[in-house]
Formats: sequence, structure tokens, C-alpha cells
Amino acid sequence: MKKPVDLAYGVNDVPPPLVTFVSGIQHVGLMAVYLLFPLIVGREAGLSTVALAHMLSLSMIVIGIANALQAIRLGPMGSGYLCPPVFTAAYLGPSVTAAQIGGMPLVWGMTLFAGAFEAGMSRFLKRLRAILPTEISGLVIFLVGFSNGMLGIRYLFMPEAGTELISSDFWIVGGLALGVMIALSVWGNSVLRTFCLLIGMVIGYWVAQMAGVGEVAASEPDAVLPVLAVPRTDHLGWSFDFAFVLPFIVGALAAILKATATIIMCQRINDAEWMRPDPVSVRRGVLADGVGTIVAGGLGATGINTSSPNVGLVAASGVASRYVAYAISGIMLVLAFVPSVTHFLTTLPRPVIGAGLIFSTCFVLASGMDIMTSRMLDTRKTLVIGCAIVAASTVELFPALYQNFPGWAVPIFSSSLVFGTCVALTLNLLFRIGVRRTESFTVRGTAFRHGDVGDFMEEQGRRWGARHDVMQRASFAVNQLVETLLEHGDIEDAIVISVSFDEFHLDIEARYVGRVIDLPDRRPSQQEIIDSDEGYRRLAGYLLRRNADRAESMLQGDQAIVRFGFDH
Amino acid sequence: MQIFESVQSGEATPVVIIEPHGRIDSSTAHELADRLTGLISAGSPKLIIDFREIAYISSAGFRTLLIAGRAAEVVGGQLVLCGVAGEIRRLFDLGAFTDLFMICGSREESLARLR
Repeated sequence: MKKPVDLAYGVNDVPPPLVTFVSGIQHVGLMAVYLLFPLIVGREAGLSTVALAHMLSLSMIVIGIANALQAIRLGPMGSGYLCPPVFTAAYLGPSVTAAQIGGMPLVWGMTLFAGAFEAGMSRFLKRLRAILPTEISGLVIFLVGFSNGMLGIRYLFMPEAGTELISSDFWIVGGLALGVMIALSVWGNSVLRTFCLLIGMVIGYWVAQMAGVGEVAASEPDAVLPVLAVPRTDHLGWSFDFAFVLPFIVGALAAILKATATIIMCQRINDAEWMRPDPVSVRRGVLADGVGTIVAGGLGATGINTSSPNVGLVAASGVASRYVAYAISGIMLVLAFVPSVTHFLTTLPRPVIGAGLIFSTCFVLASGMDIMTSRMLDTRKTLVIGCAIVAASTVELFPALYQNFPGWAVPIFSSSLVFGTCVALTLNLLFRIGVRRTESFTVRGTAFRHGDVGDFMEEQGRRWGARHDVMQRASFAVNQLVETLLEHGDIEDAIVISVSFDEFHLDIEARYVGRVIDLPDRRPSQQEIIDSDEGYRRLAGYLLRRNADRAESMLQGDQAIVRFGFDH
Repeated sequence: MQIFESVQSGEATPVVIIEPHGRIDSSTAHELADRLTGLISAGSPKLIIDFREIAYISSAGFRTLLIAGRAAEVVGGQLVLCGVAGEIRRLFDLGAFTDLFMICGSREESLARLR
């Protein structure tokens, strides 16, 4: 691992105490807004302001512990990066439904289960790809944004949960907060852009207080709060309901995907020579993420997940030292014992929360769409994505469709995230029938046009929905191989090339009667390439070997065979 | 393959900018090689090759560049590459050619290097 030149403090560097503290404060400012999620769930469960305050204090302790777990390298756990976890939107939909049906004990019990599931799945990340190919990973992220955006709309316009009454006071306050967030994000300088969400919420809070709108108006302005107080734990309790297993598994899958992506971002930030993801730190990081969610369930909060905005701050500030994570933990633990902080959060007005949800949702939606469309979409993938989005939309637009379903099905059909994901996973499994596909073509020296190979591979990649970068590598392999064989292979008749694809592997096999080509693992020198045909030939073989994940050439009977394998 | 050519004069030795379009493979590399060796032998040893319109390069193309680079050096000139990005950059990295050629980010940077 080579530290990039624009990084002031690498992952293992120890910055001066002031730099560590100021960086920690910056991160805490960014992380504070995610306390929205336990706050929303607590309100949906009907918790009193006092109970909410204790819940938020415990939530800050959870974040303090989860931060340390992610940064530390403890046994098989911890990515070792400054990769701060925050409360996640991934569990919001299932947690809100659980809060409405079974109260907070059910939320906390199911959060424990989700954390254990994520921690357990950290050992099987490679196998997860079978059920969560790239486009479905993107879809799950998209649906997290979609379902939370719908919740945000309800918070922005409607003063009471479960009503269709639209309050003009609400949307004016919420619209102002949202406008500030958007304006600072689009036209602000780097500092304002980083903290636009927090600033928008503070301004929204202030306006709501002035106008007497929402929870802030109902709070006790004259209440004298102690400077320090120990959060209570006597309200904690846990319950379990099998009907919520699937919804929380969907949330955990979204958390795994996000943790994987953010830890890979950390790897790239910290290594100037980064080539490909390091599965070890990803596995350790996902385990820490899962254990963090277990801690959250145990201490009465909602699920956590690594935060990409905070990792963005790491890149922007150039301070990637994991010792900053310990400063964040310390600051969070101290704030947990300051009642005025939690009091401020518990009185956040409903439309301001809605504005924050809608703003943050925009980035989640865009990220999901970006991942979905990073793959070439064939008919199967198009149908999986399209049907899942339509199904998810029906939950939000036509909830009456699912009103008469049995109780065990309510958690599935009351969440657009869960229902959309279930539709996508089911269709994906169904469409795997006959998924391994092979196409062949024959090259004859006299009739060969160099551009034909590229056209053929491009067309196959589009039909199979293969990743563009993998198809480019495969296209180079076939082009370079054909060139080499036609120039140096002493081909007697024709080259028959087969290309097979099954989601996880792209394999190429060429058969011909002629000379077996050499695939050396050392590049010939500049002198050898220029001065001898042998050097030139070996350069071609070297490029072919380096280009593929697996490469071999052999003689079988009178046929020469060359095989290339690419991981997909 | 089409090859476009322009000359930046104003110095003792003019700099010739070559912009090939399309593919540099075994069927087109000789065309590029002829153009480059022709320019070098005609007294223009300072060359910039702009790769921004190149979609594919194979071992034949790399060999052509190595030969041209050496020919330019022999007569006191230099070959500078620019516009090497995306898939073409990957192939340069793959063959560890980034150490063998001077690669600049833009034509302007290439010109500054040659002056």
C-alpha cells in the first residue's frame, strides 16, 4: 500500500492532537444528521419526548462504539480504516413498520437479528453475488432511496402520521429547509457543501420555532436541563417476530452492499497503487458493521452502516488516519451525556426531518441508478428492474391493494423496499434458467476484417448484460489473439472461437490447427521487441496473459487450444 | 485508419503532431510506421502522437511506437504521446509501456516538454 501524495495523514499515521480533534468534530457534525433515523422510528412508535431523548443518548453511545469497532483491528473484525458508521436508511422502512406494529422492543429485537445476519454473511460475500448481481444491488439501493423519499414527502406535507391532511405551514417550513440544503449544495463552497444538510436543518428548526410549527412549538421552552445526565436503560426490551425476518434481511443486504462499497472507497483513498478490492478488509469491515448493528439493537437504537459522505470528507480533507475514528468515538460518548444535545434533536420539527430525508434520498437514488446502469441491460435484467420498480410503486401509490393480506404478509407488502426487492430476487432466480450462453464464430485469414471481432463482442456483451469493462478486456483478448495467430500461428484452415458467459465468468476458447502460442509471464525487453520477431511474438503472448484473469495454451491431438477466463 | 498531421513551427526544429483515428493493429501499424519514419528521416524528429481518437492498439502498434521512438532518439529527437486514456491507457499499463514512453496529459503539455 502506497500513500497517495494528496493525503496529509494516511490510515496508520498519527496526526497532532488538534488535527485529530478538529477532524473528529467535522465528522461528528456530518454524522449528527443520521440520528434522524432512530428519531423517526421512535416517533412512529409513539415514544414520549423523554424516552426519545434517552434513546438518542444511547444511539450516540452506539455510534461511538461502532466507530471504534470499524477502525480497530480486533481478531477477525474491523476494516482498520477511518470509515465512520452512522444510522442507516436501509433499515428505516422495516423499522418504521415494526415500530407501528410491535413497538420499539420489536425494532430492537429485529435489529439484533439483522446485525447477526450481516455479521454471519461477512464470511460468504463472494456467494452473495449469485443472488445479488450488480443490477439488483443497484436496485436495492434505489429502492432504499425511493421508500425513504416517500416517507420524506409524508413528513414534509402531513402533520400527523396516517393522515392525508396537507398543512401549508409544514410545507413552507420544510420547503425552506430543503431549499437551503439544495442551494448550499449546488452553489456553496466546499465547506458549505459538506455541511449543507446540517445547516438546512438548523435553519429549518429556527424558522419552525419562530413560526410555532411542529414539535419544536410543543416543547417546553423553559425546561431547565442538567448539564450532564446518564442515559436511562430501563425502557429497553426486545421481541422477535418471524414476519419481520425477510424485511430485516433485505435491510441487512442493503447494508452489506453499502459497507462493501464504502470500504473499497477507503482502500482507494489510502493506496496510490490500488488495483482491485482487497477482500480481507472488506470482510472484516462488513463483520464490524454487523456487530455494530448488534450493539445498536442491544442498546436500543436502529441499524447502523458505514457512511459514504464521511468517507467523502476523508478524501476531501486528506486526513484518513484511523486515530480520528477514536476521536469521533470519544466525542460521541461525551455528547451522549449532554441532555441539551438530545433535547434539540427530539424537538426537530417533522417537516424539517422530511426535508432532510428528501435531500439525502436524492443521492441514494442517483447512486442506485448509477450502479443499475453500470451493466449492459438485456431483456431479462430490464424486466427484473422494471417489474420490481413498478411493484414497489404500487405499495406507495395503491396501499389499498394489499389491505386484506394476512398479518404475516404485512411487513412485506407494506414496504416498497421489501416488496420491490422480493420481486427482483424472485424474477432473477426464475430468469437464471438457461443463463449460461455460448456463441461461436469462425475466422478465416482471407476473409477476416479486424473490426468484426470488436463488433461481435460488443453485440454479445449487450445481449448478455455483461460488464462493459470485462467485455473490453475480452474484446482485446480475441482481437490480439486473432492477429497473433494470423501473423505467427501457421494456421492451416480456420480459427473457431467460442465465447461463454454465465454471470460470474466470461470464458473464451480458440481452436485451430497450427502452432501453439507462448503466453510468457515476463515481458520481453524493448530491444527484443524491436529487433526480433521472437520478441514481438512474445510481447503479444505477454499482453494476452496479463489481460486475462486466467490464460492457458496447449496442444490436444492435432488441435491447438488457447483459453482465457475473466471474472465477472 | 486515418492519420491527421499538423506542424507547430516557431522553434529551430518544428514539432509535428500526428493524430491517428481508429485502430492500430497488424493491418494498419505499417501505415503509421511509414508516416513516422518518413517524418523522422525528413528532418522532423520531434513528434507528438495524440491518441484521443484511437479505439484499439495491439502488440503491432506498440512495436511501431517503440521503433519510431528509438529512430527519433538516434537523430536527437523525441517521441511524446498524449491523449492516452481509458482502454488505451489500460493497455499501456498492461504492457508496462508507461515507463518506456513520455506520456503527457495534453498537446500543450507535450509541446512544452519538447521545447
